[in-house]
Amino acid sequence: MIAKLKKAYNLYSLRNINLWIIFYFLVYLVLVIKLITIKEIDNNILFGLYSLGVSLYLLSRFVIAYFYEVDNKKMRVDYLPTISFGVPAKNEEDNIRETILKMAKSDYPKNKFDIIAVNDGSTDNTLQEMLVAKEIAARHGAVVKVIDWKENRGKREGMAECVKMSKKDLVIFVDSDSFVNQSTARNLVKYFSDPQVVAVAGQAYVTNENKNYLTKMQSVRYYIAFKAYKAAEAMFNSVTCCSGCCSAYRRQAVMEVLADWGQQRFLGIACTYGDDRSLTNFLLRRGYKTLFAEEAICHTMVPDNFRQFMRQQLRWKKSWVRESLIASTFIWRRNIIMSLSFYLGFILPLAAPIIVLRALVWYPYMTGLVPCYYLLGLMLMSLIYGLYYYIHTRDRKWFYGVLFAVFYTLVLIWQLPWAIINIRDSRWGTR
Amino acid sequence: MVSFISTKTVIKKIALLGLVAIILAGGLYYYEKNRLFLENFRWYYLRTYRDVVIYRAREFRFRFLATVNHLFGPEIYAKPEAEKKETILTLSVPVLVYHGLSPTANRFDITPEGFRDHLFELKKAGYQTITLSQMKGFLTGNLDLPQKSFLLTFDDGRKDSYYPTDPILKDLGFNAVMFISTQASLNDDQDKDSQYYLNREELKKMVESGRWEIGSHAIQEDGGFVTINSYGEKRNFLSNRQWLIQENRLEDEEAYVARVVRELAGSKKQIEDALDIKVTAFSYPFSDFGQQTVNFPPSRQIINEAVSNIYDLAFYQTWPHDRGFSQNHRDEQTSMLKRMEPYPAWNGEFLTSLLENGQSKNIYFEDDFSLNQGWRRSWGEMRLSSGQLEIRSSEQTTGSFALLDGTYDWTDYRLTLSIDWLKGSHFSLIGRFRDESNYYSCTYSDNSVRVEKQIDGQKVLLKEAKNENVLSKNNLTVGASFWQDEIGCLVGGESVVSVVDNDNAYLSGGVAVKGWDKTLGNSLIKIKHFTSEPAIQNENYKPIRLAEML
Repeated sequence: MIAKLKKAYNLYSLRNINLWIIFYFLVYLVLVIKLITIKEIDNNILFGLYSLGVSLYLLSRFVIAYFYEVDNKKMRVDYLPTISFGVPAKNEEDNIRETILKMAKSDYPKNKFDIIAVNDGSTDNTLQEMLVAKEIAARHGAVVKVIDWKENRGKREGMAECVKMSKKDLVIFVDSDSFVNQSTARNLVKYFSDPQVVAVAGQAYVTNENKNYLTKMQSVRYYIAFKAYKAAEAMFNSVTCCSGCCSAYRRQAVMEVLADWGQQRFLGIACTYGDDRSLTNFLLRRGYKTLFAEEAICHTMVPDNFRQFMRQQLRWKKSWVRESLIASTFIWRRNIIMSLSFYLGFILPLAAPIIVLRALVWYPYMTGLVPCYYLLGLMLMSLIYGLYYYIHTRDRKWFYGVLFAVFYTLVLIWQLPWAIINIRDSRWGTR
Repeated sequence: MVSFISTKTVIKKIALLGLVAIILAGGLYYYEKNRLFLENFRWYYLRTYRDVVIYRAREFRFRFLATVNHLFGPEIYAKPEAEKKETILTLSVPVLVYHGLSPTANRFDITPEGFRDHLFELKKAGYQTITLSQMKGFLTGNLDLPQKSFLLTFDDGRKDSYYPTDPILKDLGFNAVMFISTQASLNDDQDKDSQYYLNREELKKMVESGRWEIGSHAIQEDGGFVTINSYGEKRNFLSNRQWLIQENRLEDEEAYVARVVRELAGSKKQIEDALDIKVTAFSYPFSDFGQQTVNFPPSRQIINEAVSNIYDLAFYQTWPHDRGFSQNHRDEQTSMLKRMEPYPAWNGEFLTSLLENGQSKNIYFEDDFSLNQGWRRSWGEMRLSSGQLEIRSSEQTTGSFALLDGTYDWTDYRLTLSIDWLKGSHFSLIGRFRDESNYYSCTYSDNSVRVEKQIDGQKVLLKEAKNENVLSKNNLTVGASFWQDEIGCLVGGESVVSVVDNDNAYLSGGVAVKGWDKTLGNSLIKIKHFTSEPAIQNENYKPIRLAEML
């Protein structure tokens, strides 16, 4: 009896049950508020439905991701294909050595992997750092190939070069400012025991997460974007973006799409960013499976000043719009829930500026009332966002997650129309 | 679906999430079910809810103990065989009216505690509510009701007369009637949905609960008032002709009648259409059935006629000092039903005693005035203390009048009173009292005893006996006897005058006492003892037909 009680208590404390109760209570509150809102505050049923749709979309991410818990027994853990790490780098003298050395220290048979570093026309000491890293790695028995381009050709070309140069089964792309763990390679590789799987995204954490409020917010955002959003997509074998900071690709499959991907043009302009999302998209179109590996961890740097952050976000938004448009032409062939949530996830942010305008400007202006329900709903959703992070990490930064959700809804939303207008402008802005 | 996930985990998780979903959905269902209450919630409503919870807990405990007793208790506690109780049927039905509940009591509002006390005490005393159709059945003689039946009504259709009262009604198994003004409650303009008055949705829910019936409180266009002259003076809408500003005249009678009918029939139709029910009852707004008219005395007749034609039952409000009985009897007009409004200051026990005193009394009745058993002041002053009922004129009245409630149904009876006649030129024992203008009386003065009859307010002298001896003022024993058409007056137990009124207008009616003097404030009688018993044909009577007298 006592043992049973103890077990129950352990389960209780282990599973953060009290926190989950709060979490579900908030979910419940949101639903209640949305139901009221639909009926009363917004006489327009479309706006009410939108509001309900946003909540349901967000919540569905959490719920579906909850099911994405892979069972090691179901895959061949002894599956050890040969792999290449691919690192295209430009002007990355600060980090590139460590990036390469971290990969070299991977807990993987030394004869089964190599590292391909592409110096993409750097104007600083990146090449020298690469060569130093190569020497150190060689002492540990890891092979590093350095490719030196005198002039800049772009990240996509760099990635393509890695694929072409590699003779291995898989290519793991790692950003030049990202650092992998020892176990990352192993954890990524095991997913490829299913021959249909051609790309697996790792979970990215933020290295400079405690630098300032911006990096703190991004840290929470990264966590949820991977842990919830990618996991939810992976549930249906359709991760739409195996991100550049750390993802493994099956070389054979990439070779099939390499030419198309390398020469991708959109609205007559060569695509120079969103390479990772684009590559994933090409693979998805062919019906391959793309997955997410929660346990394959890498650490990456995020912009720590507002200007850089906004530029990065704009770039991401542009590529998101472009690739989502492309994906929307074929994603319906995949799982029904996946396609429903994909289209929902595409339409909701596009309509968001109108909704926010209506709720926060037009409605108060016309009625003279404070949009209490809207704000309350927003706050609660943000709280749920932050709480989700807290339950999983017990990290005090959760409040920045709340902040981020509000910030996203009120500020970042407005980047989207701007991104659409400037979608043909292919400059990187910075970096 | 992804191939690396074990089905077992998925099933486990689905089960868990399903549980959560069921809980959340249950919460939503509960919310939706109680949405109206939750949205209209006021904190002070909890004051009745608290009582309801306590009541339920007690009830549960009682039932639990009863069950335990029944199962394990010794034989002596075994439930006795249910005695066949003969249901006593009631001869009169009281009607209560409330307006609403508020955190503090005022003219129209009672506190939650006060209301709870009233109803719980009534329940404890064995009172049970009836429905409008039962009321109608009783009044028309088609239905017998047990004693201690009453009708509970609310006027105006306020939210705070529904939300905090409903749980009490539910627990006590009571039902009630809500009289609504359709202008306030069934306004088609949804934007005008009031925070104060019940709306269509709420009324529907009330009807669905089966605890509530809806009656009409008229439409009350413009809030229940009309302008009655060029100065813009406003008066009750139902009993006054309206001043037409543009035409600079009062509306003609036809327009007035049309307006009254529109108010009466229109509101009925509106409620019937909106709630899909039959509306049979009306309550006079401001309790004005025409008696409060300022500019159109015939309105009383018109209103009465219209109400009788449109509604089965119509209620006005009596005041504690109204000259009459407090309850409704079978032969009375169904368009003029009495309702009393319990004062917030009364406690439940007092209210219960009022209702009990108003019930038809046994004709063997004795009163030593240690408690008020139903004496009601009509005018003048009345005080019941230290075993005496004191009836005295006030500074503004020539006399005073006190009525014994619950005697309306009495037929043949003999009254014996022991009194101290301290001041005043006359006093009367009144019997067969139906209303203030219809009754018989024995009027005693210094030198005569007269049998009189009031008929439609006209006083008729039936017979007079001159006294040779002046009546003693202290410890005087007087009496009156009513047996069929024989009316007699007694002094010291001896019949002094009797008469047979072959034009016998009233064969039943109640008891009252009146004192009088032509000077203001100069009448005082103390009644020390009162008994009543069935009258017998007195052999001492020397019946003299009126015709013989003339």
